[in-house]
Amino acid sequence: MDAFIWNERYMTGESIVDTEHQELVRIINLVVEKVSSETPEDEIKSIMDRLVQYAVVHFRHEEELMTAEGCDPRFITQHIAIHREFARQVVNMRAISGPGTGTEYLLRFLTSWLAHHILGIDQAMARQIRSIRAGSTAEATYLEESKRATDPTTSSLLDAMNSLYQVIAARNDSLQQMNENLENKVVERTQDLRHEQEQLKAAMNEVALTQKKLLESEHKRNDANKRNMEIYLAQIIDGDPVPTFVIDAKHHITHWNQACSGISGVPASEVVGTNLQWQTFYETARPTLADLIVNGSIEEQFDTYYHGLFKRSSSVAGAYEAESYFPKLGQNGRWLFFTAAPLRDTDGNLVGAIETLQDVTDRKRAEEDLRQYQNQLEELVTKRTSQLADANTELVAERHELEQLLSKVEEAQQQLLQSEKMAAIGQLAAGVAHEINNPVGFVNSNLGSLKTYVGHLLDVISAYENGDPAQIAQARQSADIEFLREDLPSLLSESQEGLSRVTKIVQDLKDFSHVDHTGHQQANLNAAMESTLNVVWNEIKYKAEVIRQFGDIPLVDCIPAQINQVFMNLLVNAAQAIPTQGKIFVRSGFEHEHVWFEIEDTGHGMSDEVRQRIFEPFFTTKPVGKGTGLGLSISYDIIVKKHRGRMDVTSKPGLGTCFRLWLPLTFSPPA
Amino acid sequence: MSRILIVDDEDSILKSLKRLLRLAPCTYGNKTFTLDVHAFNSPTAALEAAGKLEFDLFMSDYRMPVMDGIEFLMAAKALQPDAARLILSGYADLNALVRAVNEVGIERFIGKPWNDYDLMSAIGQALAHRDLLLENRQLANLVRLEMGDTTEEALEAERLERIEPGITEVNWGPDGSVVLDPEFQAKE
Repeated sequence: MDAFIWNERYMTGESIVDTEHQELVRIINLVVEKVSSETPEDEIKSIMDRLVQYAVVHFRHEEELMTAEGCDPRFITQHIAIHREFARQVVNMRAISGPGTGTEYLLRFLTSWLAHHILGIDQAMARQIRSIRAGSTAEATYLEESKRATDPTTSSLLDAMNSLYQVIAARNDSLQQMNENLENKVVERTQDLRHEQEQLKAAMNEVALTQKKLLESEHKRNDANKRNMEIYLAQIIDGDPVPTFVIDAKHHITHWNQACSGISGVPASEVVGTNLQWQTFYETARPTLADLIVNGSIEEQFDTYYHGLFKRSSSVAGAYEAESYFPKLGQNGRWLFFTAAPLRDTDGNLVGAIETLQDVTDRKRAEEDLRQYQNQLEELVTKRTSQLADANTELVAERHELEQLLSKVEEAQQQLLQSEKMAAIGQLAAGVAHEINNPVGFVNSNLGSLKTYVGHLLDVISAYENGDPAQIAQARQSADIEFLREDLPSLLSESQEGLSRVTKIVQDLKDFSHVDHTGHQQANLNAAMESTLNVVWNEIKYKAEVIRQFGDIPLVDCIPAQINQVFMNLLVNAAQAIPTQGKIFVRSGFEHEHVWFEIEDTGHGMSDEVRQRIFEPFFTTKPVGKGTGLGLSISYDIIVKKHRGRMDVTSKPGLGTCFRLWLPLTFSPPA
Repeated sequence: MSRILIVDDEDSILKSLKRLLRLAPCTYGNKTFTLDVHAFNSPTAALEAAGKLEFDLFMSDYRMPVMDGIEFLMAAKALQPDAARLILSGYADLNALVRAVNEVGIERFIGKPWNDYDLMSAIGQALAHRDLLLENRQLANLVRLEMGDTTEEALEAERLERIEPGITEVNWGPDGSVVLDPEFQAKE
């Protein structure tokens, strides 16, 4: 088929119209090219559609142009009618044209119509527009154009074209008519066929319906069973006190029981059908144990997620269990022991997994508490042990110190006792010295006199031996024989008495101090009191008359030196309590298996305040130098502590004091 | 002959002293004193005697009943201030010695047991010293008399005062009467 050749004759002078005409020609040529190159029907058809649409647009532009330039309405109407007719024809032709020749035929029609239209009426339009612009009226130009149509050359051609076009159009119409007839027949036949078919279909439907009813009832029964089973299963799971959830093969939660809601705080309605099972337990998305089982990657991924905390269930095949801490659960987090097991259908395919959770927080906490407690206990034990060890060391040191102190105290006490004794003896020294020095003095002097006497007597004897009476008389005179005769016996007896006094004093001192017996022994305490009285006699003889009222007492097992010290203290105190002259009563007796001694003075006595303090060490009422303040303290120590005796004192100011001491017959060493 | 008074509560002491002093005279330098010994075993009796007789020397024990040696010697000194004073004692503490020297002005302290020779020397020395003092005073009075510093009356009054202390003084009452000594009244 030939292409549409564009030439100068087609130019109208209106640029928009010309441009659009050229575009229409180009599209027609494109269709021609496509048809000849056997391009698929669809593509050609779409280009044809474009061509028709473009034509319609072009017609509108022409019509607008005419109206805008103010062409004669009759012309405009005529032009538009041609456009409408063309459109109708094209629609008709496209409707009846089948594949192949249809397009070619249509193209020929289009080509010829377009050529005729441009050369004819479009050129006429362009001429009129030019005239109007040149100043002619619309009617004038229209009439002039009508005259032009009578131009023989142009009109004959145009008439020929027009008739041809008419023929085509008529043929088109008849063809369409035929087409419609055929179509109507086809429709009729089709309707007949359809009717038959529908009857058949109705029969078929009836069969299918019956079948379906049967199937449905069967399905219903199955479904009911299945639903019952599912409800039953759901109830089992839901009623299980162990928190449990189930996921399917796509990791969607299918079951989430009440216990699980309870432990997680997430109701089943929020999670069933989702795959948010991780959200309950973890902050970030990650597979749960059940997910790992469904994935089948449990062995590989377990270390990633459960870090060696899991193990194969010992009781269920293919199941795993693990224990972990979930800080997200509850107020302070929870410890869960969870077990997941695969779910398989009858063919052994994995269809999901079930995971049960056990809240072991309490157990864990208890364990933790227990461990902490144990640690605390161990710490405590360690601490206590070290404390005890320290304390022990301290105690040992302290004991050592105490022992040292004790030995010091004992030593000091011993020294105190000794020094008190020495002080007491020192106090007695004056008396004792006097008592010894007096006899020694006069005995010594008497011996001197005796020596002179003896000299005189020897002179007298010599005179007698010479026999000279004058010499004898002279010797006798100077010797004073009469005086010597009288004085010598008394000199000798006095001297003897003096010496015996010295002997006695020394003996008393010895008895008193018991220097040769320091241990306890059976002692006659009346005798001991007597010797003590002798020792202190010089201390008291100028102050007091001593009245002895000794009872009949048995021997007492005691340390006599210490008892004598007590007697001496009491006697010296009694003497010192007497201001000028008084009496000291010394009594003894035996009552209640105890020997008692009483030393009572008629001295100045003492007040209650003083009496309460007399046994305190270093307490004294005597002037400085007269007493150590230790006498009664040590006496108390000796009687009460060393001899397990008793010491009583009664005193009235101005009337005197009475000390009474009791001693048991047997000596038991102090504890 | 010097009259001396000895006090000791121990008779044996007194007797031995009497024996000693009877036999040998006490000498000091070129002076020899024969003694007239008056012995008492009680200070009270001794003081009584001292009130009647003039003694050249008092010798006392320290420890005695009723009064001790210092008290006795103080009383004796009040009676006869010119007499020499000695203590013969077996024991005396420091206090007693200080008092004896400061308050009584004793010539010598002699310990018991004594050495006979030392004792006699001490007695002789004390007597010699006393003689010296008396002689010195007598001579001084003579010089004063010659110089006109004193009168016979004053010396006599002094002598009387020595024999009987207080005799030259009159105790006038507020109404012009003469008040007698209490002890004098007591005696009567």
